[in-house]
Amino acid sequence: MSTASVADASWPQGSVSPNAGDVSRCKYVIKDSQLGDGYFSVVKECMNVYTRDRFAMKLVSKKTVEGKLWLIQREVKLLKAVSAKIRELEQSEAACKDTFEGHHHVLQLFDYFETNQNIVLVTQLCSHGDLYEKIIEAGSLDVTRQVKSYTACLLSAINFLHENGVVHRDLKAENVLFRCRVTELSEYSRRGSHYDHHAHDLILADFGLATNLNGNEDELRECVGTISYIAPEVVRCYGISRLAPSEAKAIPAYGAAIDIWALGVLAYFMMTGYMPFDCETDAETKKCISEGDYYVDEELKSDKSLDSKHFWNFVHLCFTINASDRPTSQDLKKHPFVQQFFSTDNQAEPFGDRIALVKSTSSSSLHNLGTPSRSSSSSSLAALGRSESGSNLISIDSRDLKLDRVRETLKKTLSMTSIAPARNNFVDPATQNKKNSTFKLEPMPPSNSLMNGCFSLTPESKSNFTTSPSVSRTHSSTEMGRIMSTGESNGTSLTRQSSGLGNEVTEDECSKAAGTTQRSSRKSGAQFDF
Amino acid sequence: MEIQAITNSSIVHKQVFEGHSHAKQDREQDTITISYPATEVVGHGSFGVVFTTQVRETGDRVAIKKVLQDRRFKNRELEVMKQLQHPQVVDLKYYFYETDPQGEVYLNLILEFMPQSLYQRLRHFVSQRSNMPRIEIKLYMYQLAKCLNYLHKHAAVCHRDIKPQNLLVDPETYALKLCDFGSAKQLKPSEPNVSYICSRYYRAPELIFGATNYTVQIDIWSSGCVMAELILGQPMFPGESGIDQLVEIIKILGTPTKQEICSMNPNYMEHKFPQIRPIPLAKVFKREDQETIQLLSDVLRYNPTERFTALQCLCSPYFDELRSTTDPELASVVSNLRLMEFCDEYEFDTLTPEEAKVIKQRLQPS
Repeated sequence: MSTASVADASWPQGSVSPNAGDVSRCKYVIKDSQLGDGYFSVVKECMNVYTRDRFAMKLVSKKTVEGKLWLIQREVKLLKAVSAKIRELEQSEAACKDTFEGHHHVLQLFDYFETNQNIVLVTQLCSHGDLYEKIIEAGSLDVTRQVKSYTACLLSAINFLHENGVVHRDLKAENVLFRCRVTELSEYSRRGSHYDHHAHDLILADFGLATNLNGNEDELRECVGTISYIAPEVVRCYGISRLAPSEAKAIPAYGAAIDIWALGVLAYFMMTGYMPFDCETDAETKKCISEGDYYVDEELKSDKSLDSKHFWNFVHLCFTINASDRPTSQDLKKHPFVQQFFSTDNQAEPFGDRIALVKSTSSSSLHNLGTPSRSSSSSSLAALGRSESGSNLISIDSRDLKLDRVRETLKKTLSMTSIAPARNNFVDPATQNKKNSTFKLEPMPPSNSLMNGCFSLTPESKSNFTTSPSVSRTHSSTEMGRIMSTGESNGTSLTRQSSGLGNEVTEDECSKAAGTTQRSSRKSGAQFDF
Repeated sequence: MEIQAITNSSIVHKQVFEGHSHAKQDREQDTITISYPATEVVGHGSFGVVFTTQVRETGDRVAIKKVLQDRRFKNRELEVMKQLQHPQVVDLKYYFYETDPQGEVYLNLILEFMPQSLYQRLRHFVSQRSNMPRIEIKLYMYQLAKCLNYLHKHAAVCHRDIKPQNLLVDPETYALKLCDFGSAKQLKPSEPNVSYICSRYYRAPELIFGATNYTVQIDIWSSGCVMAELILGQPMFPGESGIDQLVEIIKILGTPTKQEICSMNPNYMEHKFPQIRPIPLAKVFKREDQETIQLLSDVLRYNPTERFTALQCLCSPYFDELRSTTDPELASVVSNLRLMEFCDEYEFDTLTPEEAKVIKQRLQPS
């Protein structure tokens, strides 16, 4: 709480003395309880007081990351770039017929800012546990319904990252979260139950170790990750920090293929409930990894079902020792184990046109196989709209914009009685539990509700003119200091713990949400170059 | 609602009424006794439970639908089912009432048995990653049109809940029969009807617009949605809310014109909707032939009065393949199902003799 905590030289300082004109008010209130914690951070649930959207807030204590600030900066920079790409893809509505769209399954960064004590990342809220818990609780997952679809989903996420020059480097069950569903989408609810629809909720999180593939090559020699999941080429980097720079350079830099190895490990873990390379000691584990010597349960492997056969072939390919021989994420999309979730042809087709699965494993015949097309009529119809308007992106956008306006108009005009859900005579139990699936990316909050990297001293704990009065009526014009200061809203138990580091913020100040935003974005450059 | 599961396989004897009484109207007919082995419940719904068994006296397999009877009201489903007799309507064989220990009265409808629903049939193909054969779709759609023509014209009943789950099929013979008349009603032009009927995805746009003066044409829209779903393998206009469904519809059919909005619900005429261009159905159904596209576009019309009637659907060139097939296998399916046989009395009875003659020439190949 003292100003000393921000005196880290590597941390770009703005005007430390809080000045009403420079300081942006915190636009979030947070819950007291923790969602999770890491080495340097705690994660809490928060709510944007302007939009009332719920997010996860990762508070990285500046004090504890002292000297390692670049790690956080790298994470923020990557997440920012990735999130920008996600939104770009979302807006373009590129024709994706894959069941899983990779960019929907990586953790989205919505906002970020710093306070005296913390660097704060506002991301998607994923409070439904992680894949690790799920596997451990279940013992192992069902190959047909879960392992296949989960693997396919994660493959799509990895493929998205790799296509955008990012290697995750820490793919593991603990970093795969189940998202909270903000929107309920029905498209999938009718599509039968041949796979576990929770696959659509998977979110690849924790970009703490992620890095750019085209950046500093030295970073691609760091021996990082979680031992059970690291690839042979990462094992080779073991102890590299103790080597002379010339020696270090002699070790080949690794690449995107390490995530593929880890995906194999994770798929294996889902299938069996245990790790393929783990031995009694780390040294033995590393040896097994280097030799590609993984445990095979003969009984499991003797299952001659197609899915099981494809599974073993899939992990076997992921465990290719030579990274350059290992299939890429793009290659694996055609693998029979997951191929049904991917559309490999580029030709835009309406969602009804499917080709029956050919029971051949030769890649040439698989190449043209269709998928259970992502019934997002939205994406395939956007494709149709495009072909009609001569692949003119602008017209797509305007079409979507218009559709949004149609939706808005309908919302305003249709009385609630007429849009009341139909009395459902027969609720099929098979479809009932799938109704919650969501396949829609959370929309980006409006920019005037964001902090955009600014330096914030004032915690937002009161309502102003842009939010409904129910958020909070606490008088707090002199309140400041801790970001944790919160108000009550809507009956939710967001507790308030204000601390007084007297700062004057006028009511006039906080009423100008738009003005604040402008300042915020201006300040983001001055404060902290994310 | 508490329903005791019937677990023992003992034979049950019941005093039942016949589904279609030959007695004079307004006189409660006599009961007869039937017996059947008690079986386990095979289906649950908000309406109650369904179980299947076999009537010993006749050897007929039946489905028994047991619904809680609200003593204050006449059960419309029973009244409707009693008057319906058509090859494409699940037949009401018998019915009886029973009272549970709590004094609740249950109506039991003993219905013709059908092996599965069209929903299950479609799921079968989707899970195989294949499509339902086009000819099978055509056979089902023909029977649905035939059924609706009878229902709408002869009985003047609107089913109001056409969806794959309520269409029962026999994949061996390709027979299709409509069931669940729990929402069905005789629509009278002078009386408003509730718009919150029909299941999501299959609701006609006028229902989503909250119309209360809708007509039997809402069933036709639902049929079009069913046909599209059989082709696509998934619902054509998905969406959790009416708004979502309407947006899905607008995405494909484009923004309705002022006249079209007026035809659905005049109250919304003054609202300005942004113009969305329609996507030609030929692009949505790339692999379907012209006749298929034409029928779909005649059926999926905003304006209920422009929307094809069931009889117009039957006359569509899409079904010519059934009328003039040279394939002996298909010909035998068609003849076994008696698809080309029409009954003047209850299928053409609202037509003038001249009209009937023209229609018959169209529908019944020489």
